Amino acid sequence: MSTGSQPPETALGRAGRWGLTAFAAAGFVYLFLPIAVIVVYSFNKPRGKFNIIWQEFTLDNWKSPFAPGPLTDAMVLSLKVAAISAVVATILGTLMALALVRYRFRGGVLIGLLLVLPITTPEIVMGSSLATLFISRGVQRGFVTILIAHVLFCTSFVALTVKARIRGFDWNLEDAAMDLGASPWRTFSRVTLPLITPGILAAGLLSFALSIDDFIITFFNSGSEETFPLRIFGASRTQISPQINVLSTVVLLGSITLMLVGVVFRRRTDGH
Amino acid sequence: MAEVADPSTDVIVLDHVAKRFADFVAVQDACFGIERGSFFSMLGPSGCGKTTTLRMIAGFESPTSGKIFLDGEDVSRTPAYRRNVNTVFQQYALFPHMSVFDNVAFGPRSRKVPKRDITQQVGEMLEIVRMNDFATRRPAQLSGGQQQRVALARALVNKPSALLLDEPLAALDLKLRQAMQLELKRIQRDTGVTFVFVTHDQQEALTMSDHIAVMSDGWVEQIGTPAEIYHRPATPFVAGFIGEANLLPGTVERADAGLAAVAVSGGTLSVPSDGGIGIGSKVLVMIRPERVQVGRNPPPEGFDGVPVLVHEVIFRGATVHVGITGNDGSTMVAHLSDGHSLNGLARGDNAWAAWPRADSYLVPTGMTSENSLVKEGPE
Repeated sequence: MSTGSQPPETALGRAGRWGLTAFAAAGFVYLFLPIAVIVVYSFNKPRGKFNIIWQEFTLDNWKSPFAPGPLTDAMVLSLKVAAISAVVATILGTLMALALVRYRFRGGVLIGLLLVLPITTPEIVMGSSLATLFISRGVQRGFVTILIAHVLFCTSFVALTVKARIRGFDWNLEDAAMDLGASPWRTFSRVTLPLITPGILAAGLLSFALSIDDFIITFFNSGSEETFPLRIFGASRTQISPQINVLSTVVLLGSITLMLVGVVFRRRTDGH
Repeated sequence: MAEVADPSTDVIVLDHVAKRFADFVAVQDACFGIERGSFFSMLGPSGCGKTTTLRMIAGFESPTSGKIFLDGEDVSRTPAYRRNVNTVFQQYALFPHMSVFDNVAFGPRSRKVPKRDITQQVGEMLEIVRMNDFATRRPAQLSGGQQQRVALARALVNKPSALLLDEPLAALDLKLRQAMQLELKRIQRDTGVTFVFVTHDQQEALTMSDHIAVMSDGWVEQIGTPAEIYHRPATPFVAGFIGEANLLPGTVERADAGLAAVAVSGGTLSVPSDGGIGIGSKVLVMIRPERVQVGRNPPPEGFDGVPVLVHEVIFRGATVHVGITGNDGSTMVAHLSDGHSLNGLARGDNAWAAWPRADSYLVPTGMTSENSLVKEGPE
């Protein structure tokens, strides 16, 4: 905040200010250049099978982004997996977080620590050990095993995120609701849940994002199914089609939209 | 107020209620009734069990042993949402995602009151607490005092058998607190609802209450009107906690009808007594600071006194507080109405502390320990 009594700026100070701006700009470029490349190359008309050298501008790639084909199938599968595992993981993780924060019980602290394991364990270890488990039990790997794997690591993320968000929750509000004659269920649905919903939504979106781009764990447990990342990886040796860029851009736009919706929603519910 | 509860006039009765937690006892054998329509306070330092007692009445805790009766019915095992009492919480606990109107309407809606009755009831209640201009605001847009009023309305709209208030004024600044004390009294009178008020502030309890239960270490030390508790404390703890008190330890030398002779350091005092104390027993004599006079001469007829040393004179505007030291080194305090009554005495002078005989009081010491010999109550 400027107070109107700042000392006159020295040459060194001015240089420092410019330097800082330039540094911040460089940081932004570093973060967003790869994303920009994806978007820009969705308008490229490549020669040959690899969309890696800029040739000329075209809108052709955008004419039918969801044209039937293996890439679209993979995208649909990924969206399905992400949606289901986000919903399941959000419900499970939220309940775990509520239990861990709300109640003191034997082993609660230990469970809280163990929750971090699925996230900190290297994915390669998680993926391969899950695969070992499935194979040794004779489980056919496919859609269900992908789901199981994704719900597993997403639940941890949700539990940790929601736990952090509800740590400052005023539990007196629950006492107040029951004091006013609300049954435990009404207390939860009218008071607790509405207040922790922003945290739960954030955790759900995070799960969705984690699931849709997971490669390593999915790779070990997908059987013959192919999610979007697996398809791109598999095809990249023979072909990198502009449709990859188009679909990626669609996903990007989708997540930006969700973020904006989230911001607007927060503004409205906070009321100030 | 009788220690034994009377179900015909008492809205709440605690019958040998105790609450033990894993590592300590919060409430010990509480046994009292709360008269319908009265303003009842539970007063004590933090950790004395007053809030736990309130939470047991509300239904947030259940007693380890004993029974709680509400309107003559045993509610010891009834969950909070089926008890006809409502609570005003220390930090108000208003629902931040609801408007003032929805906060107040929460109770009636939970009890499935018809819609148009709700609008009317909430409107009336907001009228009583003077908040009807704020019905559409969110709690975050209100000041502390306004939130307090909404919390009151939200509880009172349910027409509870008793309203429980857990240090509701602690979060307010001094001026607002004093205004709200009077406001609470007014609302209690207007609505006729029984108020059960928890506080650690003895001045607040004296100002507002019809009856006060003084608690310490989980025990109810005394229940009585503010005047009874101030003038006739049942234990040394109560004597020290309510107001300021000079407590002189002594030994009973003679016990005649209505008067006991007590030897204290500096002389022998004649103290009114209703008998029943043995010769040789150790007692405490209480003299309130505003009864003590400080002068150059020994006490006249009808007065008692001890020789002292003036060690401090503090000007407080309407009163002058004089710190004096007895010849055993114990300190006493005198509150004089103005500087002239010091008779020119200054710091370092030898003097006499004197008081009318009738104003000294023999504190029963039956149930308390040595560490209860508190000289001054907390401000």
